[in-house]
Amino acid sequence: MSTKKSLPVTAYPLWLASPLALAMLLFFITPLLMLGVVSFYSDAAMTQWGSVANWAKTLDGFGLTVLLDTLWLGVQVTALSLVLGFALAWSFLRMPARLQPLIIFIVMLPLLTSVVVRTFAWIVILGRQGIVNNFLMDLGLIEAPLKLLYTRLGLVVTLANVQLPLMVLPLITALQRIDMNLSDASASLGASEWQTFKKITVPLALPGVIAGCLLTFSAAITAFISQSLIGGGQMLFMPMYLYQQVSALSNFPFAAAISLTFLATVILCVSLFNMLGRLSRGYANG
Amino acid sequence: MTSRRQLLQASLTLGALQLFPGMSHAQAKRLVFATFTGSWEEAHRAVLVPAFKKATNNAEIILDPMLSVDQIAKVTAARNNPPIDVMLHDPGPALTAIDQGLVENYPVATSANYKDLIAEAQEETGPAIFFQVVGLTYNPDKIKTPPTSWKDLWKPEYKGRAGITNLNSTLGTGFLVEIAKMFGGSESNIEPGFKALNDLKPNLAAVAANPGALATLFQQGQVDISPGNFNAIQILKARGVPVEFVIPKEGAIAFKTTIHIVKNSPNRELAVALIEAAMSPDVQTKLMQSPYLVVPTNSKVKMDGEIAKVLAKDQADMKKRFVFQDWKKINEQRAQWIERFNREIKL
Amino acid sequence: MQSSPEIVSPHAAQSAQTAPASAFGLKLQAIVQRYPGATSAAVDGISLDINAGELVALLGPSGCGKTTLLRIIAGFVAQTEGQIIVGETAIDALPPNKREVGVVFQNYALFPHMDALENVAYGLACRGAPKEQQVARAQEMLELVQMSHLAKRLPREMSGGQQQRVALARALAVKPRILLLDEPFAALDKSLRLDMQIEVKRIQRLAGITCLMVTHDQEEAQSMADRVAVIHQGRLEQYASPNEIYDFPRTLFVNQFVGNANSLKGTVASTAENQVGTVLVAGVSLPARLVSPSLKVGDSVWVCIRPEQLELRAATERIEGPGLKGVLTLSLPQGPQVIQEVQLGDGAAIKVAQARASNQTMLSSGTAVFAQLRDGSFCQAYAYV
Repeated sequence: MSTKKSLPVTAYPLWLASPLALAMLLFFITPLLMLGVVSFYSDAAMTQWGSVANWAKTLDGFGLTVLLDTLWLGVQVTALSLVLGFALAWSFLRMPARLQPLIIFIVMLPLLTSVVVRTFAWIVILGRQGIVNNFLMDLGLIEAPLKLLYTRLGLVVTLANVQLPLMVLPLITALQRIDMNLSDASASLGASEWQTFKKITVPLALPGVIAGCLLTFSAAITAFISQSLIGGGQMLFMPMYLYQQVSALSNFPFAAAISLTFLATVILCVSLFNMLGRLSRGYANG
Repeated sequence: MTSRRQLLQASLTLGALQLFPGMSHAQAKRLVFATFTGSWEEAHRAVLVPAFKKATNNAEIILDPMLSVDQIAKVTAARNNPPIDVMLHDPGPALTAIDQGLVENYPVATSANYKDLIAEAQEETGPAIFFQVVGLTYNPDKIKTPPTSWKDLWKPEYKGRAGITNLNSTLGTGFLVEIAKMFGGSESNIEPGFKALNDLKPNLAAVAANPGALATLFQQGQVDISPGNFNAIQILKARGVPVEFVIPKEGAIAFKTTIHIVKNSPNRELAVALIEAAMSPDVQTKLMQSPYLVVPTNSKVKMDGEIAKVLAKDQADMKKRFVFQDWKKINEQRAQWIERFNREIKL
Repeated sequence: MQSSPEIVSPHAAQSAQTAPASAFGLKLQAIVQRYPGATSAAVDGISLDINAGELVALLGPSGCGKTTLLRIIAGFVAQTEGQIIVGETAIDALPPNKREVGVVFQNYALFPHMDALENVAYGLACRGAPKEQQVARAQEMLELVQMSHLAKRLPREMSGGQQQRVALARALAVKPRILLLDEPFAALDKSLRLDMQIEVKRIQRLAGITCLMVTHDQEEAQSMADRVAVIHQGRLEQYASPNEIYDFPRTLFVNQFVGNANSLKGTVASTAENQVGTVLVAGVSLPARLVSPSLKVGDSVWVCIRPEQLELRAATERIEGPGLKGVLTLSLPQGPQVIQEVQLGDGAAIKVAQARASNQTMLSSGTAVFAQLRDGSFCQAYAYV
């Protein structure tokens, strides 16, 4: 059949993707597989192969605590980002059109500066003589400076701020796609603003919420720089745990096991989010 | 087994470099020296490199500053054709490099300068070309009476104002050993050290992830007193941060920074020339002066300036005031200590 | 099951004039809407009095302010001045969700994540009605709009007409006092439009609800509305029954917008009682209603003649009475009638509608013709501005 051969003119032959596939294989898949092999050495000098000791250690009581705590940090940051991001995206869509590009620029600005710079800014804000403490002391609300830096709260707030663009942009896109008539329709049917928000806006924004949460969550749990500069040396999350093994102890096998465990966990979380995303996408845009 | 291990290691981090000869160091007659980043690189570029060029009739040299862990990874990845000729290490990584057979012994017998190094600096595996000194750092604006002992860190008046670093750094590890010793322990009995750290918790404003972060904390007024590296403090001071460095009466913790010829280096002769220059009294004298303030290891260097004022008048004084630690023992247990620190030291 | 008072039997609601007692009238009093920065008002002092159970069309070109007016009544926009009264109560201070004004949007605005039944039950759910009551009422409404069989469909699985029925059912389910329809048929295929117009009219009658419909389609306004309010540049031009609007347009704009009027320049030739007289167009004297007040002989006027008021005769025929001389340039067959375009001597073109008759031979293009005013017809004259 001659028709069988004719491809649509817009279809590209698959082999065009082969350079990328090769690069992925060479620079991503292969190192990853090697990481897997390395993780089975039982000692730091890599002489004894074929032990699951590193894996056992990664998932023992302490390792598991670090992993769960890291995920919990991600949840906290994501929750705070979501609240701040939703409010921001919500008001963005209700402000005059000529202000919107400016707001988008301000939202994007953190993405254009280095994470290190943003994190240092937060050190200045949260420090003992920082903006927050000075302000509260000037108001007479506190007598001695509060400890904000090197606390969980400080870290969550900082990460939420640093990752905010990742949350806001998908939210704005999702909210923008919701027909403004729907909230009018809801109101005319007698719904209060809160009911409209709960029953119409949130369900329809769900794909954006999930996309934003996914990005924020993955960024927050892997944010090595912010975690160590704002959280300090006494808070241990997976990236620092991994770094410690490599940098201070040169224990590559254990580090490999940690990193693969972390990677698998992140992939699992991402897949969960994606599944939710697929379920919710049914809602958007009839 | 060995070959597979080498294959794995070779390609693990930098296998790709082999594909691009221009990126690795394949050509001979161009010495690659992996120094430390920041002010160390500046000092070496300004003083050591000209001395080396003079001694070798303008041989080519490249300074490739990087962390110890990166130096070890790069050399491990290409043992037979190492991209680095000369490594510079803190005591912990130096021992790792030696254990993994990455370095070549220094030809001490034919060396002109080696014998002039003070005893603690003489290491056949690679001589120490400077010391890093850790003492007490404080903010003179906030603390009017300068501290005199490590024990001052535990004073109730410093509640919530002290800082330390975790054990990822040489500084943090050395500090733990030092306080263990102070409370009756040693390199092989770290228990008193951990107990003391636990007691220090109420005073701790921060456990920094690295010494650099500690500097930031001083700048932000988050921390007023902490153990600190003499050279790092000088840089902060030069920037106008209110910090002072004192040697506690128990003595300053001194780390040897050793320089090593990488095994299989194609530029062995140039490497020796560089190390000779680094040990020479000339270079060390220049490096000792402002703004570098690098602590010399050659006994022929006459102590001078800020170093003479703050650290030691002469080599004899240095021996009295500097405390060297047994990093062989420390290295064996460091993994356990780090794990314990991870579990126990939570604020 | 309790019966809803608004749903009265078709026999009881034969026409809008016999509206049920439970229906509410709508009064707009001098509504003005000025947007900040705009040079002219979007709505410029419109007053309308809509009887209970009546269906009124707001007719006008796009941008005339009719949709703004609708949004003001719904409460989505707060007017700058004026008052809205439903029944006896001013509702200006109420938020949209307290106004009991139902809206059917141009794009229907069905909630995409809810099926037809959930959409219709939404308003009751928001009022906290018990679940069984919500479902019962929603089913009742779906039945009214003949959509019971598609209750479980999501909006995207429905055709435009089906979505519109659901939107209508959803708006009516909460028993609003007033129903607003925003261009309800604009998004429908032409073939479906007439069916839906009949359907909406039927449901409106059944529900006996006061209804205000926004449209830019004069035929739609004519066929559906009890009264038509023609709006132009934020002002009310005329508010009357469809027939009166068509036959006695009060302004030049209404005349031109309603029906495809031919507008020709002329002068007043004579005046008589009751604003009747003759006008001179291209040298031909035609009987005219002098609509604009105080027109005098010699005044320049726009003379409007509807295509169906004219008939064509070949120039070779012997004709009686005055006729505009020209050349037939185009014939556009339009179902029951043919629109013929005639080029007059002075260059102006006029349209003439001719009923199609099978036994009649059509004049061909290029034929010299006379366009004559049919017996008893008057053209309309408006002051020239």
